[in-house]
Amino acid sequence: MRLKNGKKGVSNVIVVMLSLVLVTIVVSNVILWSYQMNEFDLERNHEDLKLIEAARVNSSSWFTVQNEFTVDTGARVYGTYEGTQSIDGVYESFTEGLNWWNANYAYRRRITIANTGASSLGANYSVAVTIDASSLISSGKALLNGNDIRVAFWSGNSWIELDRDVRDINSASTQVWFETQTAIPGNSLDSNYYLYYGDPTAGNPPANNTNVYLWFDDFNRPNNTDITTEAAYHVKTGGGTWSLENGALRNVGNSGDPNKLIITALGNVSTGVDMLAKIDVVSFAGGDLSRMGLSVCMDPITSNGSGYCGLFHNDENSVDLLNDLRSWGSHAAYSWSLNTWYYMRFRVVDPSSRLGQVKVWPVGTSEPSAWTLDANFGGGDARSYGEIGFAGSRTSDTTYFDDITIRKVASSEPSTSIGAEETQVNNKLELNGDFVIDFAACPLNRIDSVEVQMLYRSSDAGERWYMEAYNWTASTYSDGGFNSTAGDLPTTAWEYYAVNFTGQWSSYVNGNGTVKVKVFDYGIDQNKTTIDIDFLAVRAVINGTVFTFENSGSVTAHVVALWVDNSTQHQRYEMNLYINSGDNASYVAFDLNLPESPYLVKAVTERGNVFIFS
Amino acid sequence: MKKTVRIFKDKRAITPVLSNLLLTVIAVAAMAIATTATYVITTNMRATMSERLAVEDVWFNPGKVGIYLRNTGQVAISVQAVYINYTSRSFVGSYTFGIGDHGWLNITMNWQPGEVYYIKVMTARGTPVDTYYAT
Repeated sequence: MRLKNGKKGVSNVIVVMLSLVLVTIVVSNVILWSYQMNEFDLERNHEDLKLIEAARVNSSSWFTVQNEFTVDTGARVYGTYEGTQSIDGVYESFTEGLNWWNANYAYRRRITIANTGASSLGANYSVAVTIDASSLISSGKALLNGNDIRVAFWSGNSWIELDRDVRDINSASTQVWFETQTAIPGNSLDSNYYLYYGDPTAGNPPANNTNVYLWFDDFNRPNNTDITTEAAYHVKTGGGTWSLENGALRNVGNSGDPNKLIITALGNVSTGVDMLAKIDVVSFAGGDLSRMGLSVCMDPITSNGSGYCGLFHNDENSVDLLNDLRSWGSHAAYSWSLNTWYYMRFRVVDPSSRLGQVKVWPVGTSEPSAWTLDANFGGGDARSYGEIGFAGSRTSDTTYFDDITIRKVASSEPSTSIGAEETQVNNKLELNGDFVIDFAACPLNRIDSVEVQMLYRSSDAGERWYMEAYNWTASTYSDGGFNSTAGDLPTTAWEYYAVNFTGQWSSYVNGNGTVKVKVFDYGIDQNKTTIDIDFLAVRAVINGTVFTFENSGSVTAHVVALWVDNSTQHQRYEMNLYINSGDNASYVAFDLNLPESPYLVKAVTERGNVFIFS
Repeated sequence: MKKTVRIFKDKRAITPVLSNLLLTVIAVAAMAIATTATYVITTNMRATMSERLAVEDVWFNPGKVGIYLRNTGQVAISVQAVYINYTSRSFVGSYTFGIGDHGWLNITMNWQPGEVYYIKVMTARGTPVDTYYAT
């Protein structure tokens, strides 16, 4: 009770307790430290290193290509670059000559289609490239009739010749239209299309425009008093007649609203479209009921036919936009004449925007760059995508339509570009690859030279093969300074071909160790040679000694020094080599020449063990 | 005022206060000495425990013996003495090695080819490293 109530000794007890805690911490620290050092000693005792080999080396390991070879002339026909990384019977094959669609064609230009929009561009999109065909014709590279102007698509496995539509042949701005074969993702390129020409014997080309555009009709078929008897046009709305006459579509208007001929074969078209047709008005009463032109976004109730229209309307001085049965849209002045053929281009990209474009110009003249009318369809409700067709007059006007072309159009149109002319070079192969010397394993200042070795097989024993490397100083491929510039004349069996850069090697290695090597044949000959490359690699010529260790211990060994001792020298080399338990590892000591036997090699580990090999 | 005067005049509580104060001072002093002593002693123990020295190489040259040492421990090491065949030898070269340091200690002595020499290196903290070397 007294102890419980007495407070006088409490502070002393606290002091003693705190001191004991401090002492305990200090002692514990020592015990832990002791444990760590014991562990260190235990690990040192478990180290066991063996030297398997100590030998002179005069070259580094091989450095192979890590990316596909670039074939400047010729084509890769089998395998991948990985087949050239080791001598194992797995090879990569190349053949002379370009990957050419048709040997009858002397020239080609690569077409690149750029989808600059964020959305994927679906297949079957009509695109065009513009070429100066008149120059090709005048220089004898292409036929005057354009029959030898062809478009071919490389699918990655095979060639596909495409239908194409050549417009304005023998002009400086000939357009060649064709349809894309695969979708192009947003913001990407497709360069698998080629324009071929230069075949004086070319016959009729594939030119089915229904395979070039979403829709094409030149109406070149026998007269028909009612085109709606054809499956493709079997619906008309309102009044009037639609007939085929002398290779054109003829409309005679009558009362009704709207009076449309629908291209039923297309069904509902759920993308923006660009329509181009020839139009010739031969009788025109004038006034509000006189109207004729093109129509899109017609509602799917085909008996109705209401949609957006681009029209000649009311007078011979204007072009109008119309939202059927809802609102007249914008109006632009354009003087046109009866009995004259005009082109009318009508485009609606996004019907919800209620915006459309119309362009009119006389046949035989160049298409103007600006739209005649680029405006809205007025105040009525916006329409949705729908059916497409022709708009006829609501009175007894007579209009002819011809050569209608309809293509898809995206909000962001893809652009096309055409590359430089390539000539069909027969039986020539030229390929190059990049090899990177690892300076960490083979320091630049330890390299005496660089050599390239190829194990290959040629189908033609009569053709000589050469190697060159890119001279970074001269900025060109060269074999200057090589130990041999005579090339290699192979048999048809597997054989080695090697060159050494000798004292000029530093000109062929850039600052990050890259060596660009080119392999090529002597020149054009009669044989289309194929070569199989089993191995192609670069290595550095060095002067050093390789030591191969085996870690038989149960812990990872870190070798920090190497001694080479004999009676006249004790040479120490700094090392930094980690060897996992059970692993073998090699270390190349540059400028280390093993002395004459007898000698000792000692490896010192970070834990202080010294392993002696004799 | 009256209360204050009374406290100054009252002598009855002085002795217990002094005795308690004295006891506290003694306790603090004693435990401080004990803690300090423990710290000093264990610090030395810890340094001694952390010493590791490896002889990487011994090179017998005419008239001298080179010993290549490497400090593989966790503290700096000073070489205090080198004994060859139980005889203390003076040496030249760096005798202090930081953690991971290495270098030669050169000892001037005549040696006989074909003999085996017992070499013992002592650190200032008393850690021995010994090994046999044949010439």
